[in-house]
Amino acid sequence: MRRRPGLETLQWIGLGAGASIWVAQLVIGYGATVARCSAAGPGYGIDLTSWEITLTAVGGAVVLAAEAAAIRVFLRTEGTSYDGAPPDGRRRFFASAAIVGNLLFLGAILLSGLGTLAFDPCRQA
Amino acid sequence: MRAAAVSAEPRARPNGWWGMAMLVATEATLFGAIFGSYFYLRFQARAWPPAGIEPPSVTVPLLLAVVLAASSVPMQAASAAARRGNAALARRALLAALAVQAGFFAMQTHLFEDDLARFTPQGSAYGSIYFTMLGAHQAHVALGLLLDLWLLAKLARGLTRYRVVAARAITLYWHFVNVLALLVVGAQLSARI
Repeated sequence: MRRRPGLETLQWIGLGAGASIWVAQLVIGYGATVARCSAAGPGYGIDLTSWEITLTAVGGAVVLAAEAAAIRVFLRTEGTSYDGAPPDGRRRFFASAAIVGNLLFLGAILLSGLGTLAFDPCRQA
Repeated sequence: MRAAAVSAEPRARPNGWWGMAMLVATEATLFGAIFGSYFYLRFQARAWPPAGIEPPSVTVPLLLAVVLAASSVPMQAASAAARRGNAALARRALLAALAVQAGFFAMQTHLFEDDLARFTPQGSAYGSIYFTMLGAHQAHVALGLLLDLWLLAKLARGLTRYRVVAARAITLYWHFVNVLALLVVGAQLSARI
């Protein structure tokens, strides 16, 4: 029988996964852009559009999974105050923060991906 | 609040502490972006700092950063004393930390003004990122001083569980600001390398 992750695990996924994938998308996307736009860039054969679509899709999926985890924890701790004693109070607190935070991370990932796709990344504004 | 009551506090970290940890994480991201920008601009520039701007002095900023970092010791002592239920010791340790931190703030503000008289944020990319980095850190120190004053006012009326949590959270904030001071001065002084 497959074990389902407990609330303790879900609270950390909800809180940390969105932030982590946003940082990863930003750093990897930046690295790919710098590599593509460097003097030797065309020789590397980096397809920046494919990189950005992949990063944005993976990032978006991970953030949505994190949001789902946070909502699950939030629902499972119903009746507990966010200021209550740990572990349930802490879980409620984390879930409340993560529900809002993950929406912001989703927006940041989409804007970053769309911005790179819409504009020429190798030309300064 | 009596010592016995405070020592009965659960060992798990309170939500107030976790809230401060989240704030610290977001502020660390902000400073990560500032440091990233600083070194990005530095490695794009032919001369850093640009011609006409003297490299920063080493001794005073380094000494100030080390002195500020040392204030983590009385802050931690204040937090530990509050957890043990010793309000008087917590107040004294907090006052000692506040004196050091306020001294740092005054000196750093003076140096900041001195730098502004020599070059401006709008004059070059160096000036822009230099003042952004130092100004952002200085703003965090100012917020920390306000938190200290608020906590001192609260502790003057004794300890409660809420105030113990506040002491722990503010101590965590100062540890972060102090580590940041060392990183900021490291980036600042890297211009001399």
